[in-house]
Amino acid sequence: MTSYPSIKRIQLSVFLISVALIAYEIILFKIFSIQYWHHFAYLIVSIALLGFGSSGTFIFLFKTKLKNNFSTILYLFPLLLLLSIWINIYLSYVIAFNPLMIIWQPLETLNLLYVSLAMFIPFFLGAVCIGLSFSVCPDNIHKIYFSNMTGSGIGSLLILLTVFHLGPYEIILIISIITVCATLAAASSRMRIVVSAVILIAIVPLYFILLHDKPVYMSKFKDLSIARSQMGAEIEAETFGPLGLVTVLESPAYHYLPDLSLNCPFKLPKQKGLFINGNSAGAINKFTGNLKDVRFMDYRTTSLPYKLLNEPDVLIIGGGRGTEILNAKYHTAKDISVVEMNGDIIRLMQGEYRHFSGDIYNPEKCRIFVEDGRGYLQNTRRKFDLIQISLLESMESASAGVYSLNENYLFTTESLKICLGRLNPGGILNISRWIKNPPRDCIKLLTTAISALEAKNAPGSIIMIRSWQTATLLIKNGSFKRKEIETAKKFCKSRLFDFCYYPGIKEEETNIVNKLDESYFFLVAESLLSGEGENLYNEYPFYIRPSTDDMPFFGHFFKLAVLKKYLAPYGRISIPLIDWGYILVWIALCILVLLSLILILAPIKLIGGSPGGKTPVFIYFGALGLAYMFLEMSFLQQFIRYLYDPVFSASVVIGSFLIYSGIGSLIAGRIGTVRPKHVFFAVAFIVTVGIIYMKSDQLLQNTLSGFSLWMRMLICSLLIAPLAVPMGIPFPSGLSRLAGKGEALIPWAWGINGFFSVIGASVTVLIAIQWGFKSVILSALVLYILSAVIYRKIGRG
Amino acid sequence: MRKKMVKSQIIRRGIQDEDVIQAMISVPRHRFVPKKWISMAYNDTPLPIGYGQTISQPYIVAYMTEVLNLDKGSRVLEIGTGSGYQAAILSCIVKKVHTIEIIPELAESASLRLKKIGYQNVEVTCSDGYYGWPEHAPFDAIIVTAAAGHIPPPLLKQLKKGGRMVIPVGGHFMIQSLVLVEKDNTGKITTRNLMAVRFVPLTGEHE
Repeated sequence: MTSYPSIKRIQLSVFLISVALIAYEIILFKIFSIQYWHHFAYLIVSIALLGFGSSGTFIFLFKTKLKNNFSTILYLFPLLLLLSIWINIYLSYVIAFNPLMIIWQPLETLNLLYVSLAMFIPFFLGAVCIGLSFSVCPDNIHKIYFSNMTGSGIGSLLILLTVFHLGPYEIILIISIITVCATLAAASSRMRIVVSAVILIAIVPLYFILLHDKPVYMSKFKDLSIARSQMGAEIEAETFGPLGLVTVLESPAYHYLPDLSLNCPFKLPKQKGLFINGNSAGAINKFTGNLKDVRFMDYRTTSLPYKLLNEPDVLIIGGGRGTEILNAKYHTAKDISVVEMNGDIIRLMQGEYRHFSGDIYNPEKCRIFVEDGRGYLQNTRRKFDLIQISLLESMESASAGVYSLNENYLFTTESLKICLGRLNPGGILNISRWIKNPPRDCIKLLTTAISALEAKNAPGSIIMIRSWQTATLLIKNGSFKRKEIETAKKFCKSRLFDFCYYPGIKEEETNIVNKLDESYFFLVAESLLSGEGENLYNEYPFYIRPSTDDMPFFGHFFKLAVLKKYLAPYGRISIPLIDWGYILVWIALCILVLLSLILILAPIKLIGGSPGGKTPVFIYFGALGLAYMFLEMSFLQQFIRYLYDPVFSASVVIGSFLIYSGIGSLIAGRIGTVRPKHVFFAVAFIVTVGIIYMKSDQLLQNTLSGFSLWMRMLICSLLIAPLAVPMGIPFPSGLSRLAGKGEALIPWAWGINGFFSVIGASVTVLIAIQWGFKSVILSALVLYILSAVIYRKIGRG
Repeated sequence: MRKKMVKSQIIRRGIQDEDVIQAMISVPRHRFVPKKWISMAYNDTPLPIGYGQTISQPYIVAYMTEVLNLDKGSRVLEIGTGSGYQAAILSCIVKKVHTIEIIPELAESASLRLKKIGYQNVEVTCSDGYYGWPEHAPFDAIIVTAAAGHIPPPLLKQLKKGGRMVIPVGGHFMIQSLVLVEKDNTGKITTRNLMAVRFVPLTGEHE
């Protein structure tokens, strides 16, 4: 009989591998967001995660050999995993993948697959170790699952702890050390222990020789790469944090102020480029303290509210490089509050760039809040005369549809209502956006604003103006007066800006200086305010329905009508008009489904007459994979609104879900034989808690808003427990049932669950975009009920 | 190959200016793209030329040139020489092309390439295009080949009364539209957003 390591050592090894894999997955996403763009990062990581699913097929096909060599595999595969992680870093510098060429040159897809498959290997190797452990320890499945889930949970918390202080390659070093420790846990001979110990000792100097201070490779087509290649440009400062890589570029050729009037008579000051993950995030303006040097501020669309308000009390959401703070100072704001969620930017502005920027982030001169804009608005009881929401992303990113999958809780109907509630009587909410062609961002902003105001208040409370490439929306708490409209008219006329809308506007007053081929904004406003909204939403070629908390995809504009209207008749010249982020999710899903079907269906023929019945196993473990991912991702989204921070939310939600599910698995293991009624009871609990949370979303949001961040994190984690503990029961119980009556199917079931978990991530986004996150939760609950019904059928011959 | 490109990508999409069409036929685009991409030089696509820069899709080059309303006596300023292809097209139509490239390597290679092929009326310099080229101002037309954070005021000053300036909007691979800036005879400035697909007459097989 083959001897295996003790269950304790297997558990420890699985635990450490799980820590390493989840940490690697998260850091890989961050690295790819720097190398390329975040939607490509999503695509690559999704394909790479197929490693989990295919491991099941691999184990199934070679089960005898693998089981016989389990001790060696549990030792060797983590070493290979470590090697593949380091090789992948090397490959990232040598594979010439240009994501932007994919839409023009389909062959570039091969490079994408090449990159994805290279990244697939570490996940495959790690997943084989975990999946094989289930197969060789049929009596301890709950314990293995507990180690797997708690390891994954702790891995995601590890990232939360390290990402504030360490760079991406330093985190890779930690992952490498954990992986070597996994081999130590599995080492069954003195020789193996010595080899692992040598690697452990060698890895740190190797890191310093090969990776320390090495910048992450960045595509030549990212804003930062392009700006760097210009004459005299050099990187001055760089810092990596939970919200990405922040870079400051010194370049004599960097000039940035998108909403500046064409006839501004004043020179721009010297500027330094600010980039996040290599994407332009505007410029830091040199400010000597002399307001005369920044007179250009008066020639921006964003400055209109200052003409309508007298020494306002201002709240700036998205302080970033400080341009809006400077604008508020120039316009003699009485009091300035700034909300910026990226602490790294504030540290740079208060540190190295304090003098250059004129110390505009001095906490004695303005109130500074390092938090999410929506969160601040939700929590504060203060009221303001002016709330200013800056232009937050670069045109390059906006035009490529990069943000189409980003959940944005700042530009939802509910959020704008909160903003309006934080305005003093007569106060103004001021939001600027890029004008895409054909217009869609600003149109959606308009529809969302009108939805927030409700039809009866909207006509009198909106002014929208635009320059040649940006639009600024003003929403007043109250109605604009005739005198204010006259002031706005003078402002626009003298600065070559156009009106999109003001109360009482006529079409001939629009589209005069900066001509679009139609008066889009006027026509949209007129339709919406005359109750023709539904027709407009249906007929407009882009998706412009108001964004809501349940469907918070402000950047999602894609409709099939776009392809029909533009791509079909005009071919390739219309490619830039399409928002590719959404299409890439579909592409990812198609690739994943195709590969999954090949890798899942292929072994079915080989199973032949094995016991257990294949269809119930497929449905049960597939449904569990999808349902788990649906709930995890939906709650991650929902909890962003409780924690007001996507990084904290991701860490708390993922970490809590996995750890509690691991505990659930352990509890199920204590029960002994898990009967259908136990699974049914667990599912009934999941469904009940899921529905309670769905119904009490608003109540929870309001209740939690009064607590500190750490308290909210703790409460959120505890709130997840009643849901996640029972979620940890059905999967290991299903495997245990197979262990009794259809052991051959265990690796296959592991693979199916892995595939559907990966697909679940893409499907969640697609369902949420179409029907909202509540529909995702409902789908998950239905899938859990289905799995409870199917449970008694698995493991039957 | 060039004729086929012009017929299928340029004329069929509605470019009518005979000078632009002739220029697109005469300029050997394949000599302006890196070796790796030569086989795709006449395809309906932008191509990378290094340093994060691209040579635009042929139609965009033709369209940007046409909207400038150039004639034999025009003097044009180009911001962003890149490979030199756009400057070569312009040089076939106008009297003099002044082109500025901020990436030293590209400025040098484009200058050499243009000289080697024989475009004598193109002057290349390596500097920051934001400030234009005041020594040669004013210009009848200005063409900015890379999307800009904003329209540089010095360029507007260097544009003649009655002159036109064209600027792409979007990314290098994603030119969504062109902004045409017009300075009338009184010096008044207006802009027009030219969306490529909306301005394409449905001719040829699309009719």
